[in-house]
Formats: sequence, C-alpha cells, structure tokens
Amino acid sequence: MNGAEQHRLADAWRQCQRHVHHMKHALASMEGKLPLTGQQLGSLDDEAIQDLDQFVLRFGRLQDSIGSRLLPAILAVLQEPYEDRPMIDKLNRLEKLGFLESSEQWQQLRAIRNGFSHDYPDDPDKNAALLNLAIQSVDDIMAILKRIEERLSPAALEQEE
Amino acid sequence: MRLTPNQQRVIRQAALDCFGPGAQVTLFGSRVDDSSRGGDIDLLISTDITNIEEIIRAEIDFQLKVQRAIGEQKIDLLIDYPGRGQHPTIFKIAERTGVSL
Repeated sequence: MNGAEQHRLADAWRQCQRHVHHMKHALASMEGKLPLTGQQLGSLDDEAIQDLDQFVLRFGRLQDSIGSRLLPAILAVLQEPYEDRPMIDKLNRLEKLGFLESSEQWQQLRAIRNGFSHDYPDDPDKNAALLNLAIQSVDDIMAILKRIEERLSPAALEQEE
Repeated sequence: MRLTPNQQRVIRQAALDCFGPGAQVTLFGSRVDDSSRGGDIDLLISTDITNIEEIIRAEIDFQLKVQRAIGEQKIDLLIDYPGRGQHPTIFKIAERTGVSL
C-alpha cells in the first residue's frame, strides 16, 4: 500500500474529528434551547448566535471534509481507480464496498447543508426548521464516520502526522 | 424562457411529487430573460403544506429529484405556504415578472 495515500487518509480522518469536536461543542452549548422556533431565533443573544454559527460552520466543513477528502482517500487506499470519476460514482462504489450505508442518504445530508447557503431574506420559522433538521441529521453523519472507522484498521486512521 | 422543455417537465413533476398535487411553480429571475445567459434557476413554489418541517423536507427532496434528472444546477427556492408570516418584496417581484411552469 502506498504511504502517501495512507497519510492522506489519516490526515482526512483527523480533520473530520476536529470538525466533529467543534460541532459537538457548539451543540452542547445550545442544549436546552432545542428544538428551535422561529420566534426564538429572533431573540437569541450574541452568545447563542455564535454557537449556532459555529454549528452551521462545522456541520458544513465536516461534510466538505468527508466528501472531498475522506471518501476519496478511502478509495485511493483501497486502490480503487475512482480519482477522476464523478462524485456519484464514488458514492455508489463506496456503498457497494460497504463504507457508506446509502449514497442517497449522503446526498440528503448535502442538500441540508446546501440549504444554509440560501440567500433569500427567508422567514425565521423556516430557518429554525432547517437548523432543527440539520441538528437531527448529526446522528446520521456520526453513523457514517463510525461505519468507516469500523471498516478501516485503527492503524490506517492513526498515522503519525 | 431559458429552460428546455425537459427541464420544465422535470421541475413541474418534482414540484407536484414533493409539494403536493396543489403545488404551483413560477420561474422568475434571469432564466426568464431570453437574452441573458447561465445563472441560477429561481423558482417560486406555492404549496398547501402547512407543517414547516415537512416543507423543509420537501425542498430537499425536490432539489435531489431535480438534480438527479437534469444534473447539478443551482436552484433557489422561494416557498409560499399557508401561514407564512412574512412576504418579502421578492415575492411580489416573482409574481409580477415570473412565468408559470
């Protein structure tokens, strides 16, 4: 197995874990305020807004890291020739190999994330509902990471920096 | 209008599937303008769904369905639903300048 590819995988994994850490920290700070309502969103203090922003940022970055780094790195380590293939092919291959439970589920998570980039002056009720949905979907992301962790050897994920 | 007949059909059908049989779709923004090029697909969809969580899920399903059928496109959705609190000016613009699909 190629050392560079192993390193890329371990790096991607570490990066994902960092985002997970900050995402969970933000979530823990919001405990007691969930689920959110539109009315609540309008009256949050600066501190709470920061927690929410941090959650949205890490939720997005974690998905970016999984999609653009971790998943391609897994395929590379397995010597699957998918480097230049479209994302959907990569996802389907990973599903087949058992690393992803469902490529469809991954696309749904991406769609939730993309919801945050919406640039209309939207209504607060809908923003709250989207945030609630994103928060609910954290368990799905964690399950994806757990599944990957179980299928790769600990050594593969814990290479020296 | 700068959407192919197939794109129009896909969007119309996905809206009915995701937002219910009463859903109405209006295209507005730069895609209405034949002399313009590229750009996001701006849609106003009105639905009878009142539950806000259901609407969010419908939006996500809609995006995925359309994406699967016509490839990745940036689609901006404006949703009108019973009980929506505010109607920013963009709604009026969409209604005035838009084309029903």
